This record gives sequence, structure tokens and C-alpha cells, in this order.
Amino acid sequence: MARSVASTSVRLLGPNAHPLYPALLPVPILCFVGALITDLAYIASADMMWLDFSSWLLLAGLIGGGLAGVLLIVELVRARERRALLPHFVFLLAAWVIEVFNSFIHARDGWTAVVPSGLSLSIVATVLGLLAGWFWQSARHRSVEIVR
Amino acid sequence: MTRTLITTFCVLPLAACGSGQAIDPNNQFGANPLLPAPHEQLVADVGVFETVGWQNGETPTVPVGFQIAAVAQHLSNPRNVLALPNGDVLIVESRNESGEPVQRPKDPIRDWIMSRAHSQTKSGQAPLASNRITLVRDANGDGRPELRSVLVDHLHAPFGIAVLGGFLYVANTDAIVRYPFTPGETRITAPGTKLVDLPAGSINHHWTKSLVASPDGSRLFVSVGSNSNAMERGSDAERDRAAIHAVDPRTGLMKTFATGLRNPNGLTFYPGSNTLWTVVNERDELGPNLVPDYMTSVRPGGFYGWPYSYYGQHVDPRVRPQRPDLVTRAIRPDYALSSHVAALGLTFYTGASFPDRFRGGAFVGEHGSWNRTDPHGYKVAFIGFRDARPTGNPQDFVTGFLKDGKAHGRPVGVAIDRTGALLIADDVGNTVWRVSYTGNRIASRSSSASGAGTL
Repeated sequence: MARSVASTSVRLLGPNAHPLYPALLPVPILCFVGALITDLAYIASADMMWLDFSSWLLLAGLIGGGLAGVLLIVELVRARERRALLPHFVFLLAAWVIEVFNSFIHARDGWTAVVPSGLSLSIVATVLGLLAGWFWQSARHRSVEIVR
Repeated sequence: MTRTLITTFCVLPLAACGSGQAIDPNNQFGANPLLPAPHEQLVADVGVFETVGWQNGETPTVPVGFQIAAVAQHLSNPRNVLALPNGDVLIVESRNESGEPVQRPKDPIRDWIMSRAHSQTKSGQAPLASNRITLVRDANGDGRPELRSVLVDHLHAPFGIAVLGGFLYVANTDAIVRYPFTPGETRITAPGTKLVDLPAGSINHHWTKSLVASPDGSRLFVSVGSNSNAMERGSDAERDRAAIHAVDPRTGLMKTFATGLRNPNGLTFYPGSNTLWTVVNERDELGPNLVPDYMTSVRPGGFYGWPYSYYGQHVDPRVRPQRPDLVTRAIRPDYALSSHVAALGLTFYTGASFPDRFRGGAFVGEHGSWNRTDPHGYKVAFIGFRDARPTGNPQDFVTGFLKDGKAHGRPVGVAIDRTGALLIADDVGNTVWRVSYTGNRIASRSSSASGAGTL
């Protein structure tokens, strides 16, 4: 193998794959974490501005996560080592689906947009999103090991 | 595009709708409406209907003994009517051109749904000029006008109008403006003078400002609807809103008269009294059978709950911070009209040509619901009054605006003309309708015919 470590790390997603997916993956995870933080800020202040932040962060996370998900599915089809990525895929998909419902909850006009179900879904989706990030890193780590 | 747009997202697995609020909507009339628990669905029920207008010869439906005919057609979004003692009818054509700023992702979606329910022009046609007052003259009172003229033009989303002391007062969405006017004139050329600013601003969610003069002519009363459904635009956006204000017609001094009225319209004094009445659109997205819109007399200084509570002291779970101090003094309205009917017009029957049971009763223009899959409203309802208090259930008076899932028209403002006929502004049908009683005419004709037979 004459490839550098950096290029071997993307071999998990096929030898010619451009690493666009790793650039998009942080978008949903960060947005879902952000929405949880702004949910907490809304509960603390009852200021509608924070609920607006949450709604937009959820939408941005869903768009970013949707784009990333499409790329991930394409990569999964092409990947040699699918099983290594499966936990990552499942956790990210679960977080995304939960945030779809959470967006509808967050469209309510005030307190009940967050308390209790909006906040609960934000917590669950944030944990799932962070787990998805964790398993991405471990899959990536493994793939480097496999290639080496 | 020809199909009715009825959108129900209840198939979503978490929606869990259908279980809540299974009540008979007929229990939501009168002084003691049945109020189910709030039921916030995952996606609110939406039922809006394609607007098709009226074909030649089509009219709304009236009870036996009455007839209905158009006083003016091909108007541009007529929202309100005022009948003058000389037989002239002033028609307020109005359109709020400015959209609301997008605050949340749901806003453009809601705006799209609302625009579907209000569209009036076939695609490709430019909207006709609106924001003006059209005068229609029916000097002989036969319901067939001889003259039609634009009385005032270039208004700014007007709704309420009143004629008082040599002036025509127009409640634009952002100010009360007055014009020198003597009944009989058909065109006002003098520029308007601003009497007082009204709350408007960039959001201006409920933009119709209803207007009426007190019986002694000393004060004008103007209604200002809320800037949001349940204060989700923040409390700063609600300054001087969801209220009725009293305005001195000479100085423009404005004082708040009553508050907590989410979207009050149809301001009218009960005939022969100093009691102000209004119809109020209550809040959405608490379920298809909550909150009932209502008709109520308005007490000076009264607080009617919005946004903190609904129908008296039922706390809205969405509004924070809560205000138990205000909720304890929230007044329970007089008469529920059922949920989401969108009552926008109110007039009391002051004429003499309808049968006795109509005397002193109320006609309510119900623009029609969006927050229900099973539509409410889309009609003019009649509520009988006894001793100046509403009694019994509302009766359908003018119906047929919504037929086979298509909205031919939507009634808004109502008025009684000098012959005792009922006038209805129909903003989707772009028509003003006149309902007159023919029962006694048929009876008198038959009696005269029998009289002729005895000769």
C-alpha cells in the first residue's frame, strides 16, 4: 500500500470516494446538540427567541442530516466493510427520525413546544446523534486498522 | 388544482389524534359551552377549500320566505358594509398586501395554507384594485342599485368605517383617517386627515380594525386584534393589541376600553343601549373543538383572558410566564358561537321588514374555519335576543357559501339597510349580498288577489 494514512482512512467508503460525508456529518450532530441547549435556555427564560432558535436548529440539522444520510447510503452501497458502519448509520437515522417529530412538536405556540415532549425528544436525539458520531469515529479507526 | 385541499396529517404514527375532543360541536353554543381538554396534535388539523366564486345565477341559500340577490358584484375583496340612512351602501374593499416576517419554519407553511383559503383570482389574472370604499346607491330601495362609484381610493387595508358629524372615519390597518363627508356625496376628493395611529408594524397578524361610533357620537370604538395566535411573537409585539380602544373623534385621544380579546371584530352597540358588543376569534391549535369563538357585551375595563386564559379562566398551557393575577379577573364571555367559525361580522336587527322573531337579534358573519377537517362557519348565523341578552342556539340564516368542498364565497361584515334587509360582504365571492323578506309580500299579494276576487 503506497497510500498515505489520510487517504486510507476513506477507503472504508470505497477507494475513490471523496470525503464529503465527514464534512457534512457534524452538521446534524451540532444542530441537535444546539437545539437541546436552546431548549434549556427557553425553559430557563420563557423567551420565545430561544424556541425560535430551537426550531431553526432542528430544521438545519434535518437538512444537513438528510443530505449526509443520502451520501451515507450511497457510500454504504459501495462500501466493502458495511458492518463496521452499521451502528453509526442506525444511530444517526434514529436521531434524524426523532427530530422530524420534534420539529412538529416545536411548531407549537409556546411552552408546550418544549415542555415536556420537545425537551425529551431533544435529549434522546442528542444522545443518539453523539453516539452516531462516536461509532463513526470507531468505524473510521477500525477501517484504518483494517487497511493497514 | 381543481381538487379540494383537505390536508390531514393524522396518519403520522405519533399523531394520536381522533381520541381527544370527541364532543358534539352543538354543545359549544350559548352561555355554557362544553370545553374539552386542550389537545395539541402533532400537526394541527387543517381544512381549507378551493375558492371558486359564484357562477351567474348562483347565490347563497336563504330560508323560505326570504330572497337573496347581489347588490354589487365583481368587487375586489369586500370585507365590510355600512348602510346609510339615505339608502347608500358603503362597501369596504380591502386587502392586506404586506406579508408577515418569517420567525419560525412553520410560518411560511401557515402563510401558504392561509393564502389558499383566500385566493380569489384565477391563476394568471392580476388582482383587481382594492383598498377603497365603493358607494352603491339604491334610492328606491328595491335592491337593484342605480349608481356605483368609488367614494375613496388608495386606502391602507381598511376595515371599519363610521359616519359621524360631517366626517367619514376610516379605520385603516395603521391609523384612523377622517374625510369630510355628507351623506349623498358619491366621491370624496378632499385628502384624509389622520386622527390617530393604530398598532400595525411589520407583523400586523390580525390586521382588521373594526370601528363604531357610540350612540351619543362622543366616542369612536376601534378594535385591534392580536399579533399572534397565543403570544408566540413575544409580549412586545402585543402592545395595545387584543383590545378595544375608545377614541375621541375630535382630538384623537385614544384610551384602552377593554383587553384580552384575541381578535375582536364587528363592534356594534345594542340598539337603544350604551352596551358595546363584539364577536371575537379565539385561539387555534388547541384542537378542533377548542376554543369556541364568541359574541359578548364588552365591559369597560374588562379583561377577557387572552393570551393567558380562554373562555374565562381556563389557562392556556402554552403561554409563559403565566399570569394568575390576570386570569382571576378574566371575564367569561356571554355567548359561544362554536370553535373556529371565524366570526368577523356582527349586526343587530334594527329593521321592521323581517318577522317579529328577528327584532333585536344578532346576525353574525362567520368567515369559516381552517383549523378543523370538518368545516365550521361559512355562513351567516342568527341568534335571537330576549331582554337584550342572547337566547337559544344560533340558527343558520344564510348558508351555501361552502358547497361540495368548494368555497363559493366567505361572509365577513354584515349590516342592516334602511329597508330592513340584511347586507353581507362576501370577500371570496367578491359580492355584497342583500337578503330581504318576501313572505309578507307574497301573503299580501295573495290577500289582495283574493280581495280582487271578491270584487
